[in-house]
Amino acid sequence: MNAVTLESRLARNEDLVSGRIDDEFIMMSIETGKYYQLNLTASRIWELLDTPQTAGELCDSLRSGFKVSPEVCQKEVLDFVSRLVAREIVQVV
Amino acid sequence: MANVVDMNACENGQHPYHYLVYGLRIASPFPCPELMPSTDGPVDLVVTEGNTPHHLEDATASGFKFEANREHVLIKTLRIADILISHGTQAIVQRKNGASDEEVRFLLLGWGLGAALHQRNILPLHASAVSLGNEAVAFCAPSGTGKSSTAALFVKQGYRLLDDNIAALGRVDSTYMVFPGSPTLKLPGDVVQKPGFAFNVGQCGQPVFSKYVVEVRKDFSAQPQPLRKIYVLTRREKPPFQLALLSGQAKFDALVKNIFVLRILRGIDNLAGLFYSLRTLASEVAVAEIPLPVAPASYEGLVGAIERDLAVRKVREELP
Repeated sequence: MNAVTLESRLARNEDLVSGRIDDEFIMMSIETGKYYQLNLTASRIWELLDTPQTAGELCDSLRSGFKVSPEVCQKEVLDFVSRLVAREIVQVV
Repeated sequence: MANVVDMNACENGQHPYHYLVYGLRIASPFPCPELMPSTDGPVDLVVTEGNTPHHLEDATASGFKFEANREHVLIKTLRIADILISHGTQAIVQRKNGASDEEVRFLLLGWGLGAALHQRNILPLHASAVSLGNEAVAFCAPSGTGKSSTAALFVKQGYRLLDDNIAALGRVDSTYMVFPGSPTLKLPGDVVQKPGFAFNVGQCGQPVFSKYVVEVRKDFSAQPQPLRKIYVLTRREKPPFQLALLSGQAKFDALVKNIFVLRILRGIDNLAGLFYSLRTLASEVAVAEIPLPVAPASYEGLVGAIERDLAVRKVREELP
């Protein structure tokens, strides 16, 4: 698997359905039936990826409202997104 | 692949027995005394005795005693029967030599109807359900935990049974309704033989799959009831009857784990529909876990715990 970069274009895995139950964000694979809860950051990324966008654009959206340097934000977002890609929640298109 | 079923056969005497179960009117060539007779309305599911295929073409899921694709579910057993359920409208039963009528009906009215409900997008929970007057509660649990015994406790206290094995949930006017099933309790021997057992043991007959069938028609709710709450019965080392409300993934997890014959649903290929149904159900109906005491302790206090939780004691006292 290629490393995720700021230029990587990301999109939702269309085999997943999602929704809120009480205050938790749940998603399920319609292929495997496996389901899990997303934490706040992952659920926010999922919501932003309603429209496919680059990892850099995601960073810009996530950083607004937080006092964090672009470099720190990018590093953390890339690391986090890489894990979502590894778990096939998000895919590089 | 399968025999073509003539829906008009319902009108020419080939399926003289008609019943209403889980909101479906079924026509059968053999009697099903554990069901409520029905004479009105169109037939939803036709049961026929005939040959079933050895395997399903293009099965998208298979496992213990079943194969399934989008249109068909084939239930296969070595000793009782093979049953092909198609489109939620047809059931073909191929008996095995030596199988008793009771065993065939047990399979048809359990797994068979469970598959038909999934095909018709009616959500079957593996749960007993009772009517508390004008609303219902469901008790989810794996087999052997106490669903039927819990329902029996409520019937003994004057409430009415909706079913002791499947809570068939359908939406009517934006409300989840529980559709009545069978007016029978299938109870284990240690419950039936308990001193002071409320029902007439002599009427039970011989057990089927180690369960005694107790008819409770006079204590049966023949009308669908809106679902008030779901209780998940557990046997854990916790204070008995101390309810714990579930939320979020824990609630979703409890509902998924208590879907009747869930593995068949994967073959029907409607997991997306299932997810959205469960999400809606979880958002509209409260779910609570209730631990039962570890046997042989009595759980006679369960009814009182539920009544206090729902504040229904007054309603019960007003029942005729």
